[in-house]
Amino acid sequence: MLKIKNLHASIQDEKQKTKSILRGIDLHVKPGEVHAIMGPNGSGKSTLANILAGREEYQITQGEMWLDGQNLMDLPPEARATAGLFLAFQYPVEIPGVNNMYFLKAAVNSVRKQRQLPPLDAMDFLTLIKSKMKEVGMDEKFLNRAVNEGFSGGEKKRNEILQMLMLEPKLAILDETDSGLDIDALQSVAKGVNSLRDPNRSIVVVTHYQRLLSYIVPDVVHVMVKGQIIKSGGKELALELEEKGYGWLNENVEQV
Amino acid sequence: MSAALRMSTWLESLFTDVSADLQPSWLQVFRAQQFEKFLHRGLPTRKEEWWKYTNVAYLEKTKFSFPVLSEITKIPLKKTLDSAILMVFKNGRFSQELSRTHLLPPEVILSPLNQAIITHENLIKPYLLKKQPELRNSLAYLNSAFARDGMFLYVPENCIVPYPIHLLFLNTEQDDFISCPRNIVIVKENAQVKIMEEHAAYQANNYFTNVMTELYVSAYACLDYYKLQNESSTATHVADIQVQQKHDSHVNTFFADYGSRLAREDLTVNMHERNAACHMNGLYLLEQDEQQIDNHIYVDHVATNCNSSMLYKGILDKKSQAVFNGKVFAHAGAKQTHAKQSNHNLLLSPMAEVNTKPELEIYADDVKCTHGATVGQLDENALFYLRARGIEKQEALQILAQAFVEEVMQKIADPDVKKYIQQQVRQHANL
Ligand SMILES: Nc1ncnc2c1ncn2[C@@H]1O[C@H](COP(=O)(O)OP(=O)(O)OP(=O)(O)O)[C@@H](O)[C@H]1O
Ligand SMILES: [Mg+2]
Repeated sequence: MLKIKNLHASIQDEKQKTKSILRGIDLHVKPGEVHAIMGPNGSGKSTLANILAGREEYQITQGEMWLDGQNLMDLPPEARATAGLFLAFQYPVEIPGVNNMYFLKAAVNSVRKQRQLPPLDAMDFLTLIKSKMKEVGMDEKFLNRAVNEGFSGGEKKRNEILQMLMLEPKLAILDETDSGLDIDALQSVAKGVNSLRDPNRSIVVVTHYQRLLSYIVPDVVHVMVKGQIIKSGGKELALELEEKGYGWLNENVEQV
Repeated sequence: MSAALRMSTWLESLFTDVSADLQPSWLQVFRAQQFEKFLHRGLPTRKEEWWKYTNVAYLEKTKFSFPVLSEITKIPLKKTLDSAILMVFKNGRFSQELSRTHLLPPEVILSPLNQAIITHENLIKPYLLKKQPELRNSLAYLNSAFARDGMFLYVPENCIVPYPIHLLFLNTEQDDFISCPRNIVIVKENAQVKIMEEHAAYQANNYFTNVMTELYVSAYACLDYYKLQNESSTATHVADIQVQQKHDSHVNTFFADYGSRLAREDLTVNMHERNAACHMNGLYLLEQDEQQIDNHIYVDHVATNCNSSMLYKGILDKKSQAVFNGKVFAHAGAKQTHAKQSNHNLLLSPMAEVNTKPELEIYADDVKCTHGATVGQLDENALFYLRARGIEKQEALQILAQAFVEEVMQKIADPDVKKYIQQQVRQHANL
């Protein structure tokens, strides 16, 4: 499903100095698998997620990324989305003046168009979205607000999951969707994610907490430090990290 | 030699033409005075503070003529306002066959100006001949000299005109002409009316519209004035709009400007009596290199307890330029004035340029005035967010552009007019 080979990426800071963030990422996620990526703050997890989604501000200096046999490098962000990639953002953007329902409908219909499906009419769309909102425990009044504007942290995260359920991606990347959620919200988000699990879909969850992983049980857990995946293992690895932190892994980090 | 003098030969010959019109002798005298005035003042120059950013000197290079009558028998636009009273002017001249006025309440006078000058001479005369201070825009004098047609509207006391009056100035099938329509609107005590003045083009290029609209709003009356400037992309559009408000009157204006190579809107609002309110809103969308759209507003607060507000929003692409100059003047007697000005701009290109200058000049106590202006770029994070959900870049840009103008679109009270303007905005926000 997702294949990343030796990916290196950097960014130019304000002083035009190049800062390397990803330093040789290899990742292979097979259809039906759930992978978790953990790692300290600033290690590059969100950067990886954003690069996969097509963020243009990063420079990719080396490597490859493939989704289902398609070279992601060739595709603009919208084409990656319609090809089935979905990123639930760590910090969803507020867009004043754009109605949430209008936005969701535009998104769903562009993806449908790409999949050669007719656009949903207003009625069908409303029925569908209302049922999905129920699933993630969102009040219908959020449809008439501007996209994420004034939403609480948890409400923004639920809105991300709602979008994911509406778009039915092949590969969903959840970047700290669990942070800032209360216990009920965590459960409904996990329920939403699990409802998507299927042998032809893959999920990558970026998280700091074992807690989410007891609801969304991963097949593989990776540890990312300073732009490299320094260790991968089964779901027990997450428990071990929770107990011991990241310090004991330091010998695995290649020096810059 | 001044610009006006250089233009004077062909201007004189146009004026000879106008003088030959069938008209009352006072009008002939008035026109001659106004023409002299223009020749004396000349074209506005950038040395004048109020014209610092607007260069109209190029106008003297074209030898404009008056348009010949247009032959078109259908309105070549996609849409006109449904259920409206429609007055169509082809190249500045009233067209009976394209107009539609059956919805008009019988007590209202709605007539092309060149007829009204004969049929309602005594009604119009005092308005045209009224004493007025020196105008900031010298081209308004040229309008007075050359105006041969336009709309005359008289809404008597207590009359409510139930449908908007759509005034359509269609410039068509000719080049290098000058059109000087003059509109006079009189709204008597406690009456209500909505006017939508639209300037549009069809197969016309380098022409010059120099329009003047006078709006006289009596006590307790209510006027909504919508101005849509959708001229051809090589045209010049200069407009002078003068609003006179009596006590307890209420005026809403909305300017939607997208057309022309150079467009200039001069809006002057005189609040000389107490408790008047005027809310001025507008948007401008520039999508061509070398395009310029200027909005200049002057609000004269003379009496107590008057209220004025401005909200203008603009989106600029390519190497275009916009000017917003809003001035609120509160005289010593204008106690309890409330005035608010804001102007926000979105630049889609590093070459686009905005000069924005909200100004307050206050000599009264107990006034509440605020002003603010912003010039910003598109939110890249928002653009990426939309694209990451599968929305194509072009559509995402459109969504964000529309979101930007949404705040000001909300100010359009009439739902039909709003829909009509929205549809035009969608065409032009196709950035
Ligand atoms: N647009 C950017 N401009 C400058 N620096 C950036 C940018 N994006 C990422 N970085 C830097 O790259 C590093 C990795 O950031 P990233 O957000 O990917 O970390 P993370 O692993 O997601 O951290 P966290 O767990 O705190 O979310 C950080 O040092 C960050 O400051
Ligand atoms: Mg992160």
